[in-house]
Amino acid sequence: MKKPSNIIYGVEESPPLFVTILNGMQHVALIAINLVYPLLVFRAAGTSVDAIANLLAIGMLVLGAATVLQAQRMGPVGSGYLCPSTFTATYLPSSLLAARLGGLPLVFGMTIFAGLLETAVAPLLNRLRAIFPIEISGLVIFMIGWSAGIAGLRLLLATDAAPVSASEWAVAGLTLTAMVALNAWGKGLAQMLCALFGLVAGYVAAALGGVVEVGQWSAIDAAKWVGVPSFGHVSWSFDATLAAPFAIGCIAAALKAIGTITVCQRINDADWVRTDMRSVTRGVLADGVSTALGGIVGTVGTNTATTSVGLAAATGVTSRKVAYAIGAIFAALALCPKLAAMLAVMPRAVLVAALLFAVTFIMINGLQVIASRLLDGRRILTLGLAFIAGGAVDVFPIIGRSVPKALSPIVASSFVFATLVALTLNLLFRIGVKKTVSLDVEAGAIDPQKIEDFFKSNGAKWGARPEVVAKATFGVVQLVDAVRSDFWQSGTLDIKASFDEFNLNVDLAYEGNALVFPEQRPSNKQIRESEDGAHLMAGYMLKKCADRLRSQEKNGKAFLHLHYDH
Amino acid sequence: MAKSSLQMAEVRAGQNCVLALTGRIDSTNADELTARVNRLFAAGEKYLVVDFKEVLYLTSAAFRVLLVATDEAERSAARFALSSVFGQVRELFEMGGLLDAFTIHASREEALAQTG
Repeated sequence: MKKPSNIIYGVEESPPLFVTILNGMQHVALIAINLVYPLLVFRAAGTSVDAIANLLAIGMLVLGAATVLQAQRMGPVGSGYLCPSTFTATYLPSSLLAARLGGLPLVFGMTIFAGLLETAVAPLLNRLRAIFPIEISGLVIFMIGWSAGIAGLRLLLATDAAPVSASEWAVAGLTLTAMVALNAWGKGLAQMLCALFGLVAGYVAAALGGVVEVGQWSAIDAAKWVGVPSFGHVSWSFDATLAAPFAIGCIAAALKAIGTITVCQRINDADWVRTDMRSVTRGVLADGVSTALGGIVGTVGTNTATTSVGLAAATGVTSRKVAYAIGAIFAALALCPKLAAMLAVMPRAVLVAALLFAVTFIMINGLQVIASRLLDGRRILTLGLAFIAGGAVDVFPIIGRSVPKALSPIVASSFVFATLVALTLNLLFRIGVKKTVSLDVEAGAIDPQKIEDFFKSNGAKWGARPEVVAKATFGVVQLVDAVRSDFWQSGTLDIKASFDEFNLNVDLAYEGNALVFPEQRPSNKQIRESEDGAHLMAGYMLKKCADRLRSQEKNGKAFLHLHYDH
Repeated sequence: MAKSSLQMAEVRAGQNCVLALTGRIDSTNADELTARVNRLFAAGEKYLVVDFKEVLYLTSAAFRVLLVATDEAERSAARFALSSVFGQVRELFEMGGLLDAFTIHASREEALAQTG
């Protein structure tokens, strides 16, 4: 592993204590905003302010422990990177459903289920990607944001919600405006911690505007400055009908963990080429263990915090020691019931504003993931129909109410329903999609456009990355151009391309001689002065463009194998 | 191999000439491009800019043409530059390690501003 030039303290290095603690505080401030997710779930279960404050303190302990666990390499668990944990919108739709159906015991029980499932799927992640392609991950991410946003708006606008006062609208508007303005025009720390500063502004406005009720102030007053959270009242229950929503949340969390740990690998290694699945698997295991631990001690599911990894990259401090500082700071905060009580009474206007701010980024992130792939008609239909199905469930709640009760958790949740529609259509549309395709090129009728169209249309059927398809297209067009006059003697040139989620392989065969593929680029003089130099340049570029290249001559035929990592 | 489509348009800008290319450059049209560039230098052009803005694709054959053109410019005591080398085409220059082998300007206008 080679430390990149922008990283000041790498993962194995020890920054001065002052730097470690300050960095830890920044991470905690960034992560703390996501305490709105458990807060929302606890409120949906009708939990009292005191109990919520206690559960939030437990949640902070879990976040600290999860961050330390992820930074370790304990047995098969832990990626070894500074990859903090946070509460996540991923489990929000399913946890809200559980809170409504069975209260907090069901939320905690199903969270244990999701965590254990994540530990079970961690070693199988590679295989899962075929039935859970990247564009469906994008849809899931989008729908997580969408359904979390709708859940937040329901707090204000649902028919059974208390009417929203003018002061509440003002507080919500001010909170959201502060977050957006600091994000759009702020600099440095103000921009990085815009959500936290917005939250503080919202609290101040709520206090001045009389939005916080008198009873809630007294709950803060009554809370002690120092105290140990109680684990005594946690209980668990399970409901098989909620397995599907939590399983989808678990897969989404595992996929996000893969992405975040991959980013950790990239920012810590200047020579990074491709994802190291060993550290990813260990990291996903740690993520699952943390979620299960959350359920056991009484909180909601956790996940790796992408924004925190971004913060580590921005500050150039990726030292594992910062993870220990985060753990210690969260433990200290958990011992302050007054702080937890302040979070527990967060006015709904502030909470909804913070939620809407956060889900905006989640939804757009989902769309970006979708846009990273070539999409053919089948994939467009899969995504489009799934979006419509999810939207329809939210717009017409009668759909969810009209199905048998056992199916209600699946059909009544836009997030779950959209995902299942997409997965079903994806499996259906896999029928008839060939993983290996071929094209024969006649010597007298070479058309680069035809080769380009061949790769483009099949790349879209496979849902391949456009940049990888472009590399393969160049490889074939370059080879055909280089061999057509002096190397390819007769007959057709056969192109065979095969794809799975991790590899794009292209095999070419023609009668004649193989090109030479030099390690070193020919000199400008060589290229200028002879056809041989130009051919060497073609071979060099083909070798440089492919991730692996194999060439051989047999029985008067030349064979070339080009491999592109996907 | 059917000849790939490559259009070449000469645009005069005072004493200078811009050769704007549109389409693909490969071995089927490389000789034609070489001949066109040589003819321009032979006609006395002292500053020739080849504009890649509308070039969709190229193969290593294009690099040979451009390196030969650089030589021809030296022989004719003329200057030779490229402009608007973007996206995938630029990636191919980079992959071939040839970004430093040529004078490359961000745009045709920038190239023509360097007439001194």
